[in-house]
Amino acid sequence: MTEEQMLSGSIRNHAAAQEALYHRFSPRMLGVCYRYAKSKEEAEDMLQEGFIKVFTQLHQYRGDGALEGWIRKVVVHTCINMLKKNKKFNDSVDIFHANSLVIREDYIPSIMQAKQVVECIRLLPLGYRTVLNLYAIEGYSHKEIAQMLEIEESTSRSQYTRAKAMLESILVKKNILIKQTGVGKVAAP
Amino acid sequence: MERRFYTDESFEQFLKDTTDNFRMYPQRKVWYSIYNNLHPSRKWPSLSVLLLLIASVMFIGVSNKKDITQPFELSLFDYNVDENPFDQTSVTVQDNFTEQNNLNNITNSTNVASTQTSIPALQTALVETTALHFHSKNRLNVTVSKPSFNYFTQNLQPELIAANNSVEEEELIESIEEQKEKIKNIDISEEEAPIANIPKPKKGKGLIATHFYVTPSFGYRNMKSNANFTTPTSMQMALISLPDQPQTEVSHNAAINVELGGGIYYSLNKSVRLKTGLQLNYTNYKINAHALTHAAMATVLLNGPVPNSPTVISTPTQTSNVGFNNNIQLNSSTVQVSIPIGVDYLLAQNEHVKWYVGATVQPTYIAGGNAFMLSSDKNYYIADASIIRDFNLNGAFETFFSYQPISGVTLNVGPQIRYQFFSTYRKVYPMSENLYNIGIKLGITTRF
Repeated sequence: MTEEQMLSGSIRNHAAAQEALYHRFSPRMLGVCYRYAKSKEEAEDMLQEGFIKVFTQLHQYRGDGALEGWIRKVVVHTCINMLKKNKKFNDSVDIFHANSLVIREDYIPSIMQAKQVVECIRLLPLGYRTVLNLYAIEGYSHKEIAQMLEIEESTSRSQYTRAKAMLESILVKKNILIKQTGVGKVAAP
Repeated sequence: MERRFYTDESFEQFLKDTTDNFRMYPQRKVWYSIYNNLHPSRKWPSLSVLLLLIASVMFIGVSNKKDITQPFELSLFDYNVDENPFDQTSVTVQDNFTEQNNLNNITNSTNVASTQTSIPALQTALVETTALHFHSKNRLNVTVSKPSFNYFTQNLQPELIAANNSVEEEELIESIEEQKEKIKNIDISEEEAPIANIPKPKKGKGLIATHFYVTPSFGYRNMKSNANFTTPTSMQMALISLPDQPQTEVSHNAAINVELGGGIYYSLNKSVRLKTGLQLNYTNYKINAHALTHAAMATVLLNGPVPNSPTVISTPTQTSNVGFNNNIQLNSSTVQVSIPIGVDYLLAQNEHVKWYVGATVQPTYIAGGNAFMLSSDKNYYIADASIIRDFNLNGAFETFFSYQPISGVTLNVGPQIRYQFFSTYRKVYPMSENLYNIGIKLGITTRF
């Protein structure tokens, strides 16, 4: 089934088209949710809510960008709303104290790199993690993040700076990344 | 492990590139929840299955209840037939005498008095009452007080005794004696009287039995075309029209399948019993194919909503149907959950062994599996489990021998054929496939 058929069928509420669309995009979207969630179960809840919104709002998709990008945007907003609704984000937004947290790096499974990096991100406190996800990976500006999370723009910037430093530290310790300070050096595998 | 150099400027790009490749696969229940939410009028049938299971469990529970306050009916087979001249007659055993107004006094008095005084005397009275009832009905409707056999003689309850202490003992005995006198005046023939000595019903026997089974089998399939189109002229150069019997153009092998199940029997009479339960089937067969070192583009024409207007899909694949090297086997499989509903018929029996034939229909939910679409030019396979339909209907025919090594437990063994009535695939796929299994069913039956 082509993307156009899935799209038009889903808008007409055809179950087969909806299922095809879900199967096409759910693995990647669950990966997105997992970066925001505390557990896989919570990520699946987010995915479920996200796809219900996707299907109910699909008629609003204008086709002016990739369908996957539009779905991803809906899913990310759903994740943020669920975190805010459950007050999980607010509870952990006091990330100014997060530097004292002990990161259990030994829990990172030694599997493929994408999974490792995601697990490293998930080691960050929820506040750090959310800002880092939105800024570095989803590409939102600090102004947009501030509106989404209902925090100051400066708070978003400072949180991101700390989150980035903490994540760099973890990735270097886990030998996933090597920091390169000089100019003109060639990246090597 | 792969390590990467990075600079402050490239850190975000590294994160984005890496995490974009990350995928996780949700559990199937997530889609069910979404489906239920989007189509509330078509609630996922798992709800129906769940309700049916709950009903079955409740039915078993109620049937197995040993509450002495409830009336129940027993077949005379539950008694020692050799000692009883009234074969083939049903026995109704009741806990109280509400239907027999003329006996109410006896029962009431007996219940009270027996907790305090002469139990043997009261039992005699009840025995006579039982015989009287039989005589008048010419049917073995034996009205006995279960408490008189079980409750009072074996399990005297202190609470009951305490509750009845206020009753005048003498009045009770007097009342009993009066009733006994009335009973004596009614003629009871000698050969009818022994029925009153029916022993206590044996536990572990009844109309309902549980059964559990496992069926290893060989599983294979029938395939044929169900395309509702002819290959468009524009594609005839690239695609060969689908043959009626695609199984002649592919190399498939049967494989070992397995079936696990359990449920209940309900005996209608000596020869016929109904059965139902819950069953899990794992079906599979092997597809002989060849791994390609480089991906090739496979095209499949699917049945479209309008006849003779196929939907064309093209997708890369690394599995070929033709070739000489890199032989691989694909596993076309399904995991099925069924509710078999059927009947067994007793063909013959001797002292130790019974021979049955049986059949079931099995509404089936396909919980998962692997499917491989054959490209329309029959050169490639494309893995796509989404073409498997969610629901199907199976039928099974079996014949088996039952052997009872110990009382209440029966071992069953015999051949079974199972056939899937509808295609494994949705109608969109222009081939239909009907699975079948031939195996040996091994089971155990236990009576309540």
